[in-house]
Amino acid sequence: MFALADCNNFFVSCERVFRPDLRDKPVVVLSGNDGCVVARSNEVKRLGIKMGVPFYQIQNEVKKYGIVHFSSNFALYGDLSSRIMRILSRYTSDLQQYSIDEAFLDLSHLTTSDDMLSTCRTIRADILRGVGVPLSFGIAPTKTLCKVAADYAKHYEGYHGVSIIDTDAKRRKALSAYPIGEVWGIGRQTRQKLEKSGIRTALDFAEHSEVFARNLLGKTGWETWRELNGDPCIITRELPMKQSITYSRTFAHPVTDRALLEQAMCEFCANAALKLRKQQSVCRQMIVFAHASRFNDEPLPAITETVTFAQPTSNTQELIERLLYVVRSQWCEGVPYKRAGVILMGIESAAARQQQLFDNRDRDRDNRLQRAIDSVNAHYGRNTIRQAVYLPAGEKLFEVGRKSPAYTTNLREIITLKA
Amino acid sequence: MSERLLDIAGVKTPTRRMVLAENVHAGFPSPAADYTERIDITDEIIRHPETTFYARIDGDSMQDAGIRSGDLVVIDRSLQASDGDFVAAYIDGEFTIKEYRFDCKENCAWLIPHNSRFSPIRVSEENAFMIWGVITYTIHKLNK
Repeated sequence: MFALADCNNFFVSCERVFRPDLRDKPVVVLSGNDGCVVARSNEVKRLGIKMGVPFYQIQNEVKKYGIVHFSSNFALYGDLSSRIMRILSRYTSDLQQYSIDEAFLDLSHLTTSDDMLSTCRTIRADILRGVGVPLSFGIAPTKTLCKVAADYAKHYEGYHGVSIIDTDAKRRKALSAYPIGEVWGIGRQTRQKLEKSGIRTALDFAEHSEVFARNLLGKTGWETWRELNGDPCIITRELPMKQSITYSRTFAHPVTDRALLEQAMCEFCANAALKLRKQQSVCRQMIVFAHASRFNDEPLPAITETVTFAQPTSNTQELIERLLYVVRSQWCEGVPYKRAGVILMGIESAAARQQQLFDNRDRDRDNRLQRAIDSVNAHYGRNTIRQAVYLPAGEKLFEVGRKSPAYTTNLREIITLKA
Repeated sequence: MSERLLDIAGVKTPTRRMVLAENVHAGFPSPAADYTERIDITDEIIRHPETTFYARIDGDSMQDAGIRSGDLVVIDRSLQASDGDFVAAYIDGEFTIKEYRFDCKENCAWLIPHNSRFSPIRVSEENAFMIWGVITYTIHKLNK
């Protein structure tokens, strides 16, 4: 069995940690460069304000309901995300982080549903008190069903944040009220195809034959069909709605040598960065992770960090510098690392990016060098020229714009306690 | 390390970026090489890194407890506040630091200042109140 841990309205919840006065107030978080709504509190969702709308289009609602708005504070969100992921990794030997605010936990070390429920409730309470962010948990035999269960946990208070699909009756009941378009991995086109065949709910789809699913939708749809029927077959999948680039691997033999792990992770990072540049985009965040083998009884310390770039980047050197810093500061001697990877997130078009006021990198030079290296590698084969491994002096991060303070990442911006 | 320039496709870049070996070992190995661990005070001060936050003190209400304006405090949110703990509390729109007391008879909480010029605050249902975290250390700078 797996559990999906999903932070509720993550960016808004992060802001509320340091602004308890906003607990029941309508709050939105806006994207940095174009001012679109990227996170909404439940109060805002109830007003019918949709994800992604430009802020100027909701000016009337903002005035009428007193909606509080923030620019994205990636330093804060990244730090709280890292804290949450590290707490989660204590409870499982296999944590798969999928986005800044979601991760799958392998619960195969627990035998009864009661154990799984009580474990997830404990984690939820620990994180709510210790970090201040509320989470929802969905427990189920497959990751696609976990997403369904977590949705129920999030939307119905009666579950107190944790719901489980552990019997066939529960599975059918959950799927019968679940619109097909909401299912993980079902995009708009697939939904339209299925609706033409009279399929409205996830259960309608699951009850069609396997042959129907495979013929109509191909491999991805077939996998979804199997997962909805309780057959776990999705090992990794990028979230359909969130842009991210993932390079990760399970090693054939656990890695206990730091240099080897660094080498492997630098390669993932270089490949991910190349993919990013090929689609003319840059990223704001990078998740770096390495986990121990799942065959250990005791969960071992994991390497996990969400790195935030003040200036969005696709530069291999810059990404690798930050990656190595994370690996070197979190590496534990003697831990057999089994799975490792790099996820690039907060992806935006390279053309749209703004020059930062306090940027201490020579971007033009970096880019020219990167282009030169890419063209050499395109000619003579990947990795002909690659980054040698070295640790740079600490780079200062500067953020500009109207956003909340960097409460947890800059000593000058911490909260004040009145005495 | 020298900053010789390497010319790749018309881009002048320091060779420093392309170093292939990190350390060059030469001469006699240092007998102290195996003893590089140094005391790290954060290990002592931060018991739970995931749930540790920091705040700056502003005001004099805790001065008799040795907590002065401008001090840095370490807050651990994972700890449950017990009677007599110093806490970071949120009350009526403001973060404050006080000693936490729970009155079983009256079934209410008190926030106790450590300065005779200030009065204890009785926390009732009407207050917007939460204990944000427990103060584990204060750091007071002596040398300006």
